[in-house]
Amino acid sequence: MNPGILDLSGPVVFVPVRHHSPACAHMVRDLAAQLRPAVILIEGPSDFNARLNELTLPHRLPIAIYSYVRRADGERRGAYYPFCRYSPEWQAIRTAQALGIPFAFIDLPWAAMVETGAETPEEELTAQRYADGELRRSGYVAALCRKLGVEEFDALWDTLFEINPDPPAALRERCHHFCYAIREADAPIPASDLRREAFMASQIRKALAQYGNGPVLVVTGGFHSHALYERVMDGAVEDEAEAFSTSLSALPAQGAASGMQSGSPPLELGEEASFPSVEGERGIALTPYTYERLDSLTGYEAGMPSPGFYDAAWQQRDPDSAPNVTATYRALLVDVTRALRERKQAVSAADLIAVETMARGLATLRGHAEVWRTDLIDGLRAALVKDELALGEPHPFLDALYAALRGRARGVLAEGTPLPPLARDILNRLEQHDLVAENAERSVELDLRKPEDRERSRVLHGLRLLQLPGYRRSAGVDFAARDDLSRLTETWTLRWTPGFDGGCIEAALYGPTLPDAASACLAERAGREERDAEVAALALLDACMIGAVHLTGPFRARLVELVRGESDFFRLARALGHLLYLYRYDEVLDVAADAEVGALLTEAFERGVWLFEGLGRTEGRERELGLGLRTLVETFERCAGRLPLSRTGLVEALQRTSAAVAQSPFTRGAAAGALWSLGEAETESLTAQMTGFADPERLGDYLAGLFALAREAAQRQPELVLRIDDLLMGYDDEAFLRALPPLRLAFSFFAPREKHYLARTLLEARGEAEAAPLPALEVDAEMAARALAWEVRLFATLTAYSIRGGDRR
Amino acid sequence: MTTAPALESVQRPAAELLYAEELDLLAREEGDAPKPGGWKLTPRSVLRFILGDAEGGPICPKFVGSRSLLERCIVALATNRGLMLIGEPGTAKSYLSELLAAAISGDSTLIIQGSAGTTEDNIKYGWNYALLLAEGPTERALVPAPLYRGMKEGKLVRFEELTRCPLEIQDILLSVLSDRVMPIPERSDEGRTLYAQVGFNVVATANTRDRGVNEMSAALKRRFNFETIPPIADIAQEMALVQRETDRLLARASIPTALRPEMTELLVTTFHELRAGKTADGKAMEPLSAVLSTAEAVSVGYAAGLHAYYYGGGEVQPEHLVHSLLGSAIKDSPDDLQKLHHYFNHVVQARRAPIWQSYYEARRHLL
Repeated sequence: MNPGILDLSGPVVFVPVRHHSPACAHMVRDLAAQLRPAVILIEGPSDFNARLNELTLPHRLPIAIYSYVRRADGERRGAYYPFCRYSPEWQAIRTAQALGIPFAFIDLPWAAMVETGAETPEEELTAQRYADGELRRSGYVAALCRKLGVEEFDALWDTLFEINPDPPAALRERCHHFCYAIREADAPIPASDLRREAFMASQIRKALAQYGNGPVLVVTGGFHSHALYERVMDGAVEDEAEAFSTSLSALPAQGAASGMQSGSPPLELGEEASFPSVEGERGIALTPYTYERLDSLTGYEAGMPSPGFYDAAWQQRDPDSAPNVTATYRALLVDVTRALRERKQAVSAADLIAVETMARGLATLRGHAEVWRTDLIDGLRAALVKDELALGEPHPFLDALYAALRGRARGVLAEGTPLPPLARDILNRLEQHDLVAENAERSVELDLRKPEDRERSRVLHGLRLLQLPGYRRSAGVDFAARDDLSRLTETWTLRWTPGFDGGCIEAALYGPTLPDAASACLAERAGREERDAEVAALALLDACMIGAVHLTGPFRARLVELVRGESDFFRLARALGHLLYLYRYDEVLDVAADAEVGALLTEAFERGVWLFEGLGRTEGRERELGLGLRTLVETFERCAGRLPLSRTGLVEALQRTSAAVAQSPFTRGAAAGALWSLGEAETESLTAQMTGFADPERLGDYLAGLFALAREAAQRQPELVLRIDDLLMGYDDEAFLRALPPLRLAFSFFAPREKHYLARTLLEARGEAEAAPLPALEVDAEMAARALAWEVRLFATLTAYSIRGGDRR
Repeated sequence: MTTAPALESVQRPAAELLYAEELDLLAREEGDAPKPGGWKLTPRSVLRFILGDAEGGPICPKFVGSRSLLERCIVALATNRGLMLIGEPGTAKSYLSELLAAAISGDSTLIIQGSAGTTEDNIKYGWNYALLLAEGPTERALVPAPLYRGMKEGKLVRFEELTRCPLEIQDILLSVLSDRVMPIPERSDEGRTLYAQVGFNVVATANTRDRGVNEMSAALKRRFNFETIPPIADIAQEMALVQRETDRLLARASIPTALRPEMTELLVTTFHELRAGKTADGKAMEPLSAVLSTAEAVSVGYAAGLHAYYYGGGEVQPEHLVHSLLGSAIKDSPDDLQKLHHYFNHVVQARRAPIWQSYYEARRHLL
């Protein structure tokens, strides 16, 4: 490492930070106050420089800068630059503002990063800047963790920087060394990083030219600091950055000075002109953000976890806040305890003493100067949790703990901030589709077969999912019930409602565009369920309604989880029905044969086969069971050509069920019927199996199951019909009467016409074709059965008293 | 030391004898650093003793588990609560408690084995009746049990399978853990009350399969910190462990067969996936109710080796694994058998590698 970078008296002072680190935030603030730089340059989207004054309004944090670009292929890529009050970048802005120092962002605009590619992880359409990807993936970090005996990167960072922070200058040196080592260990550096650094270096040089004498303070991720130092100091003025400025964008260079305090000379980086022109639509704006969102990021997108904890740590060490003698962890412990007691979990004073003892003991063992995040987590966990903790399973204590560490802060934009992206997006869409609500109520009829009405329906369903007032669906086709799909229309009632605008701004938390926000809202709702395949299928249906079937990774994973976790066959079968409809029969939602739907359908099918095989006895739900199994078989028959559905798996499960002695006759009959209709069972084996059900108590149930699954085949198989006839004729009157009710149910699966076929098949097979058609009953069936029963009893009585020799009828 | 000759003839030496040198080294290295009362080593050295040094250090790694779990265990023992290790059978709970006792007290032999027949005498103390008749309830006549000795000598007491004891026996620990005294009402002299010396604490284990047989009282639960010992999360580490242990067992039985690495992979992957209810590529399935611990995987591997040697060609084949899986792991649960069928039909079949395909072929042995 070049020791020159540590110099605090040079023309450029580099301040390396980890984004969202309170220690770094303190460092930035103190160094800025101490050095009084002429200008502060911050890693951030330079196309926001024209609107820096928006950042200085009295917002409630966390907020984010949201930037998006629509690429030539129509795909929209967005990125958040989130700020919380303990962000080093935010403190740089606030300090600059307080001291009257000009400041500016110096990173490539998002749109330019997207052009270079490789800036967003696959499949994620919205990126989170200010993440720790390059630090987390480093091999150096893993080695250092082993050496220092800490578990992972976050704990390592806390040990080195947060728990007992050095004074600003020393912290800066340590951070430079740490980040330099990471960077050295991780060569080669991705081209996209090099491009950004070239651009940032050129911006720094421009600032340096303008403020030759005053120090320039450069606040960037520590990963870039040394590279920037070398680029700026070596004067290696060569690279792409210069090439950028030759391809000037046609956009007007709006003054960068709008965010500056009066009295300071304006900073002129020529920001808008110095990055390559980007084709297509793009935009940038402030939007509210949440700690929940900051904490939910994982993998390379993740920043520092537990924002609530670091917020409290910042507050506690902030000299500007009211003096606070309570240690950070105590305040959080109070929060957790309150949350637990609200959830009716018993937490006694003795328990809290044990938590505190444990946490302090752990802090000592780990060499922490004060009880820190992991100490608190482990202390609570050790002292309070008395159950087995399976890996990854939720536990109420831990949930409450993580919720308290996450914090509940939700950002609010100050009055006078331009509308957040979502609100503008919604207004645009409403205008474009002529759906703006007026004071007077009006209703809109949509014909879903027309593409333009389909678009309008998507917008309206998006508003419905976000629960924005004033837009109500008053009638129309129901894709969940699917009882009448002949009229594909919808009627919506529109009326302006005062809560609508506020609702749009509030919902901006969920995402920058209507489809994004609505699917995020859906994902949130799906996240609340533990295991319910039907919820998953309906969520997917909703996603289809808003035209957002291309789900984000976590949402898709969540739906799959819901399906895999389903333990009720009937609910799963209903879910399968919805999915099968979407995949094979949908005409208006444009998702037939869609890969996403197919993937979920495959999951549901596999789960369905599994649950069917594990089904216990299901008295009273036979009809539903028959329908469910039919859906399963239908799914296989309709989709096996396109989806990887395992025939062996299905057939073997059916064979095992059909042969399972403990299973109910209905289920076994249904399984046998399914096998038969799949062509996996011979009629002979079926008739042979039927002998096992000759018992009058069981025959009807068995046949009901069989007919439910194989109604077509059953009508036209003389052997089968004859076999049933043989069994029935073998019964005495008593047995027949007992068999009658379930038999009646079994045959009720057939329409009158089918019963007619059945009767004819039988009569022809018996050579009595001339008897057809059979005379109709003159009374109803119940009456006939009663008469039959009465007659049987009468003859039995006659026989008992030897009045009439016991002769049959 | 007098322990040297014992080591060779003893079937399974206690950890403090087996690792005597390491313990000495740790004690020497830490000098007179402050440590909890009655402890032989500082908490940091205890941690190092169990986790071992990274590549090539003098202390060998002894237990595969997360650092924070061990930190919690060790700190708990320095507080006024006992430590309760719970988990599936075969997750090395007892081994961990032995290591903790060896490192902290230098003695892992104060063991109470919990069972339905455990009596108060096995836990606290009994009497030598000849002496009792001759001398009355004197110290000489008293036969100390592990809890008595642990309190008197300030050592860790290991209580194995605590939840297998009836509730009234478990609750003996209540007053001992909260007041740290044991009344001995028979004695009239100063020996009437035994006060626990510093360094005394209890490490109990319970396997989660037996919980519910004798569920602990809330009062007793309160006096313990609970730690779940999870199965080994890292499949590579588990494979190495299973390979090593299986080979060792087979060698000890003088069987020249070894488990081929791809067989170990098959075996450990199956165990891992069935236990977690999740395949390596992230698909969920129903976890088995059978115990699928690492120890169980070793015994399946060992049984397959025996089977192959005596009844097969000598080389362990997938069908031997399937046989042993059925016999030693699945035991008699029809539910599990069904789940296993499902696993073969949906997971194993889908894997294209030849070894997995022959594994799938071997499923006909599942019955």
